[in-house]
Amino acid sequence: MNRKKILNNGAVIDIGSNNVKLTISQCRNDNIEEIEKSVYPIDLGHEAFNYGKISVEKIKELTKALKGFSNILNEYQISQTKIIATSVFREAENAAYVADQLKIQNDMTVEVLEDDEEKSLIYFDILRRLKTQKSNLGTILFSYIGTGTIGIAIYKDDRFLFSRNFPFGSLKLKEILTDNNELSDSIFVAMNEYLNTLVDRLIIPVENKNIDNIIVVGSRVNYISKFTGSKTADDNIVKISRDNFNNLYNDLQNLSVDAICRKYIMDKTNAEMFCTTVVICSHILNLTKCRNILAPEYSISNALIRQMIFTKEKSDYDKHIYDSAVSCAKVLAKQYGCNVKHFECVSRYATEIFDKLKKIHGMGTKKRLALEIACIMGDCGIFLNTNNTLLSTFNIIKDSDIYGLSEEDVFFIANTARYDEAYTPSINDSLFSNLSAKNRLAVCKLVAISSLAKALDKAQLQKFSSFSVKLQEDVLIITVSSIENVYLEKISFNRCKNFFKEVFGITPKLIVKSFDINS
Amino acid sequence: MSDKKHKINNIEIPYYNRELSWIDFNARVLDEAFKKDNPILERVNFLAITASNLDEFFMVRVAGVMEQIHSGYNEKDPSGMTPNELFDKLSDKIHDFTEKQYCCLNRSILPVLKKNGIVFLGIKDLNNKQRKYIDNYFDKSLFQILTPLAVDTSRPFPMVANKTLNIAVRLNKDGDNVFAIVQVPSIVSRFVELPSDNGRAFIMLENIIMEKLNTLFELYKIEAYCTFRITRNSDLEIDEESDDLLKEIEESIKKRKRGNPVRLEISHKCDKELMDFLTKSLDVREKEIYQIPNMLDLTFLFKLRGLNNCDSLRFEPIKSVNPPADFYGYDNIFDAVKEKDRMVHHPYESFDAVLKFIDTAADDENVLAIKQTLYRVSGNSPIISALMRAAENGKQVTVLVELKARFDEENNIVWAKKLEKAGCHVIYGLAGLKTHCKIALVVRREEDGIYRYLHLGTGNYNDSTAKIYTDIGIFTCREDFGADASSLFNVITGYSIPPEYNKMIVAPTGMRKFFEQAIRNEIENAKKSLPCGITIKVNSLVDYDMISLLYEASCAGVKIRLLVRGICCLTPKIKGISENITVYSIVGQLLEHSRIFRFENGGSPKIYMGSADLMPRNLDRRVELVFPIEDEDLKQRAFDILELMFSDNTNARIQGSDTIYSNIDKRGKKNINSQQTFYKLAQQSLKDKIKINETHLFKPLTNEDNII
Repeated sequence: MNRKKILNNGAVIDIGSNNVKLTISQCRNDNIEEIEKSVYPIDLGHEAFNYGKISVEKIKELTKALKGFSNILNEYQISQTKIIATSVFREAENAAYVADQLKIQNDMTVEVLEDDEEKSLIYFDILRRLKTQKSNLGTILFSYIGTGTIGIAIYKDDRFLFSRNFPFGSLKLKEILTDNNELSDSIFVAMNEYLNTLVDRLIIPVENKNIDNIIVVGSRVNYISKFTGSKTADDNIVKISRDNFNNLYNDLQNLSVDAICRKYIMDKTNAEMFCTTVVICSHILNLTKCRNILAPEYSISNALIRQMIFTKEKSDYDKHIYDSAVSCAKVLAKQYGCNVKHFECVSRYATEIFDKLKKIHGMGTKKRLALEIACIMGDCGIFLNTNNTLLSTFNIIKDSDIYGLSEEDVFFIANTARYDEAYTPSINDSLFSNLSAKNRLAVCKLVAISSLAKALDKAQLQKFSSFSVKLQEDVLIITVSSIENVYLEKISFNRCKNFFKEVFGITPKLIVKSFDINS
Repeated sequence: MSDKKHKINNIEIPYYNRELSWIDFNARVLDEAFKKDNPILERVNFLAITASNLDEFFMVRVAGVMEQIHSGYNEKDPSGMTPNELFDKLSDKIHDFTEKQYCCLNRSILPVLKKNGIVFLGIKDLNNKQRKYIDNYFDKSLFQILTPLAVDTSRPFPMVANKTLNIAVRLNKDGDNVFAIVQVPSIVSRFVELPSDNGRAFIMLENIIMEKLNTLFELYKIEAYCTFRITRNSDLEIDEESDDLLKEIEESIKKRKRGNPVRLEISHKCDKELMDFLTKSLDVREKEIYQIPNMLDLTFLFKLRGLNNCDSLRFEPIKSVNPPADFYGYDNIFDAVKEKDRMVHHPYESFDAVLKFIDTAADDENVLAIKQTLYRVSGNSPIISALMRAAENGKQVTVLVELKARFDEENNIVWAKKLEKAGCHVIYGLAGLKTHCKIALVVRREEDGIYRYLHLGTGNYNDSTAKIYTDIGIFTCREDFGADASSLFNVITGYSIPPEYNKMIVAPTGMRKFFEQAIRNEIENAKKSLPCGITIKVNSLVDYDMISLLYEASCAGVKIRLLVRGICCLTPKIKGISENITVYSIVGQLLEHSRIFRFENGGSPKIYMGSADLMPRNLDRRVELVFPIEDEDLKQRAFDILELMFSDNTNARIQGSDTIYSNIDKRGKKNINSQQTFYKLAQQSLKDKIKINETHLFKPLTNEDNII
């Protein structure tokens, strides 16, 4: 075989609700070119969404399809392959068993993408393309309408500041609302009412629906483009006018499924999912006053392949996730009545301490993010009660949608935010003891840092005009200056010392420099 | 096909029965046997072709009609005939045809052969020397391999193999009639060359055997004898759902040998008792019996055509130009294709270019994978060897060997097994569909990425037929074609659902729609007074809906030119229906096989080539491929190819509104034989390329070329 320059190529196998897709792309002249795309139809969604399990027959069919894909991968001698699964695996109770079978039968390791991960990859890829075109679309509402999930996110000033996911999509919604697997005329009414209770009541952090643009992607969105006669604008982004969309909606509302099949020349399954997609889309559109829907082409596979091939892309994506997650956390914290200046201050202190202690704690960017968000949202429990604030904080965070973060990530953050200088992690705490050993250690480290940071703004008055951190052998010297009474902060700081020393073997020391205004 | 009968101007559209049209096609081939301008051994060959064609026609088409009758099916076909009516018409037409065949043989061909020193002698014509020769031949070579089979109460009528020549004998023993069958052996030559002082003399094998029947039946009195031959229903019934398709087809092939007789050929003036015996034993009706004056089974004439030392009695052979002009000057075929799309027109340009493509791919260290469809391959196919070698060299080789290629099933099973043994991934075909497309894909890894090189053609990957069939192939490296090819193979191998193809038109998923749309576009353009027109070259035009659309286009004012070699169910030049349609057929030295489609497209003509004829089976029941020609030079070349064919006035015939074909009136015009012209053009193109190369400056190699 050719022993020359190693070529950049990559492949992604995407296990979806109604098909398995193989995408192979290569990098040529700094551009990503798709060289192979195969779609093998297999309906996993119906079983997963209806019965919560994928049957043995379907698993056999899946392994057979993946064997075929392996053959194709061998033909191209692909250097990097990723196998991902999304809503179907998230939904199926026996997903672990299925993944195990794929490992044994096909030697393939499946990575299950969490809801937000999936969408963030897609949105990031679209944003990358928009930036390449130098399009400035202002404040954008992104929406993903999948077969098993819907996502809505708001993008403003170069980052996402809001994300919400709904545990149903075009296929699942139909499965939920139909008795006998048939989509009848009443379904439109039922779907609208159901979506009214969820989507329409969403409080998005943009006043007066001042969204400049709405971008919608999803498995049947291309049908909306096609049947509204919409034209491609730039770089494969179709523009659908609100009026045309409404006309389509009205048309579908008045047709039976069979009539839709005949008129739009599609089979029953597609017709049903097309209808549900349109209904969902209409509710999302109503969150804005936009005159047009932008429907770009997207491919999660190509987004992942780009990251495989361009390492900078991966680091850009990681930074994007970081910034957007922090941004979303801040919006959430504000919604729960947290003191903005306080959490900005605490998170700054915490991250500076984290950075200084990097060689000691050995944790990476992901944990830094967790720390920062825990500090930002640390007081949101007060929104619910003052009695058991920390537990309330934990509950709020663990059930929050934070852009780009998996459930596991969010659960970790919630655990980190559950402690302060007075209440530290203990093995007697059942929530804490149920964490893995690795996570218990990480939580302890972050809690040690965050407690210290919180203590330094105990009064939430941002008393220190300067702040610096220095590590001197086994002493962490925090030097601050203030002309105010910092007794509360000093007491709180002292309370954190022992736990901090236990965790890191380092003694924190606070030096407060006062300024004599007369000197 | 839609069930509704189509009408134009309230008249049901004319649709000429396909079986009858086929007989007309065979008649055009027979015309070539009559044509005095053709060298005599080529005329002999044409006659053999008509016989071979007719055999297959009986085995499949006539058998199909008879099955319909036996099953009680009585619906009218698109031409308005019931199976019974069709059978009667066919019987009459084929009886007439057979008479013409033997008229050609006896009144035209044999006398001309004799003039050229080649004679066929009967027993009575032999001189002593020749008599001794056949006695000796019989004793030494024939007697041991003949197996006479008696038929009586204890010995039932034997299984007479399909298409074998046999002698039926009525014997008398002690006053009782006994019948016997002697098969004329096919392992020895059908005609035996005799010693001759004057030219070349031959005698038919069956004549020798009949002369020596006494030797075979020593204890009996020979009362009567005659030659006969049966043709059996040979259409396979295959259960494609079977777990083992290979085994299923092997079993079906065995069953084919036992298909019901559909034709009995028997020497005329045959003894009545023998006739009764045979018709009863074989259960054939009167209309299935064909009485032949002499030399039953004219397919032996293929061998006569190849007689040694008789070059002057044959066409000058087409010595395919090698390399084709498009590839001249390139050491590496991939470099040539990467630079530009290439076209090769067979057999004028050698099929070696295609063989070289696969061969090179098999050994090229940069090639990762080869995929190919095989429908009919030659014996000892170099392509099969190359694919096996490629697999042994570590390439990923995927081959679809269509096991259901009629009458090539056994051949293809052999190749399939060999390929699998060598490590190729072999697919035996698709359930419910025959894979008829001709495509080869090579995936190659190069410095700057992966490239896909394709060959797309109108003809099979068969180096034998590539010498006598006209076909066209394209080589390309275009990415959108490559993506389509990969998608097509993924569909064929079951890895993927059919996608939206970028460029290719694939049946059964989109080809019918494509042609319908293309024709409708021309209709629309005609209505808008934009340039419009349709030019199609195919082997058969049978599809009812397509024909109806073409009539509609004609009525809308679209000029339509059709070059249909074989079956044509459309009738041109009918007032109010097909005034704007002309239909030609070319039957010549080579068998026209390419399929080309041109649409004027409002002044920006588009041209396509592919594997599909316009028959329901191509559009709905096969995997076929039609592809656009996009390279401007090749597009022009394709246009020129079509125009030259339509200007042929030597081998072309034109169909009238009465469905009868007549020669082109060439009074006052230069003789144009398109096939000969293509040959000359191919030679000239290469010469021109060589000349251009010679006028280039020499390129000195210096240090800058990093040689050292």
